Amino acid sequence: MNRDLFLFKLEQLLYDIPKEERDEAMDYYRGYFDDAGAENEAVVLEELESPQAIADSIKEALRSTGDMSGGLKNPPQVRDGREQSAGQRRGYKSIFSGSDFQKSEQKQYQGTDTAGEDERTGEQKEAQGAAYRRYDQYGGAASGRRAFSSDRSAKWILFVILAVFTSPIWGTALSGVLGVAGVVIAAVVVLAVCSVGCAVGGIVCTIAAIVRLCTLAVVSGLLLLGTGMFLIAGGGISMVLLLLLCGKLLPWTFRMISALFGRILQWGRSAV
Amino acid sequence: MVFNTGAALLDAIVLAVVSKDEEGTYGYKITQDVRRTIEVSESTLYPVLRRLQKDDCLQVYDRECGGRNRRYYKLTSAGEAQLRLYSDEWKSYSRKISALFSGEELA
Repeated sequence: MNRDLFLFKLEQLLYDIPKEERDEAMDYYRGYFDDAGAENEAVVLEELESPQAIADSIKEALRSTGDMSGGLKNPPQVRDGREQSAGQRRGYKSIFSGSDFQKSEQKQYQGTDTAGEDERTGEQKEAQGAAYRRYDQYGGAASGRRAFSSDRSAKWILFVILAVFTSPIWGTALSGVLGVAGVVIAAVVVLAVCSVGCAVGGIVCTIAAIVRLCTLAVVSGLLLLGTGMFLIAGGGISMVLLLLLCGKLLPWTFRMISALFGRILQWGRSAV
Repeated sequence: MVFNTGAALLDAIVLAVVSKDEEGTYGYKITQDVRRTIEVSESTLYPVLRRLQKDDCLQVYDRECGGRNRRYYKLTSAGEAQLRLYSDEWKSYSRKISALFSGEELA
C-alpha cells in the first residue's frame, strides 16, 4: 500500500462520520505524510498501522462524544480548584488502577482505557451539560438527517434527468397508448350515434310506412317499411357492438393503460 | 513499558509536548516527540489532539510551509492551566509512589 491508497481507503472508511470531522482528519493525515517526507513514507505507513485502525479510533472518539479523557471533561475555569483536583484524583485512580502486566502493551492500554471510562460514569453526571454541548458539536443525529434528505433530493434530481433523457422512448409509448384510447373512445361515440340514429330513423320510417300502407300507397309503403326494418336492424347491431365495446373492450383498455402507468410510477419509485 | 498510559496522562503528555514550542508545533512532530517519551500508536494521537482542540485546550492555525499550509497546534490559556494541574497532580502522585517504593515515610 502506498500513501495515496492509504488516504483513499481512510476517506472511504470515514464516510459515515460528519463531513467536517472527515475533512479535518483527512487534512491531518495528508499533512502527516507531507511532513514525514516521501523518503519516510514506508516508515510512516508502518507506524500508522492501517486505515481501519485509524478510522476505528476516530469513530470511537466521536462515539464517546469527545469524552474519552478522565481529566478534561471539565475545563479548569469551570470549577473551583479544590473541587477540580478531587475530580482529577478520581480520574487518576481509575486510570492507574487494574493494570494487568500479562496483557500486551496495546491490550493493556485499551483495557485500562475502558475501565477508566466505566469508573468515570459517576463524574459524568456533573459534566453532562458539557458533554451534550460537545455532542452537538459533533453533529450527532441532526447531521445524519441532513445527509439523508440531501441523498433523497439527489435521487429525485437523477430521476428527473433520467426521465428527460428517456423522453423519446416513453413519449412514443405514451402517445401510442393515448392514440389507442382515442380510437376506442371515437368508436364508442360513433357507434352510439349510429345506433341511436338508426333506431330513431328506423322507427320513423316504420311509422311512415304504416301510414302509407293505411292510405293504400302500397309500393312506397313497403319500400319505407323495408328501409325502416333495415335501419332498426342496423341500430340493433350498433347497439350490440356498443355494449360489447363498453362492457369488454373499454375496461380492458383502461386496465392496460392504468397498469402501464402503475408500472412507470413503480419504476420511478424504485429508482428513487 | 509495563505501566500503561491512561487517557489523562496521555492528554498531559500531549499538552506538555505542545507547550515546548512557543510558536506551536504540528501533528507529525508532536507524534515523534510523544513517542520519544512513551510508546503509543499513532492512531490514538489524532483523536487526542482533536479533542483537546474542541475542549479549548489547544488552538490551531495554519502557516505556509514549503508551498502548502501546515496546521500548527498551540496551547490556549485554558490548556496551560490544565497542564499545570496535570503537572501538580503528577508530582504528588509520583512522589507518593516513589516514597512507597523507597520505603520512606511521607511527611
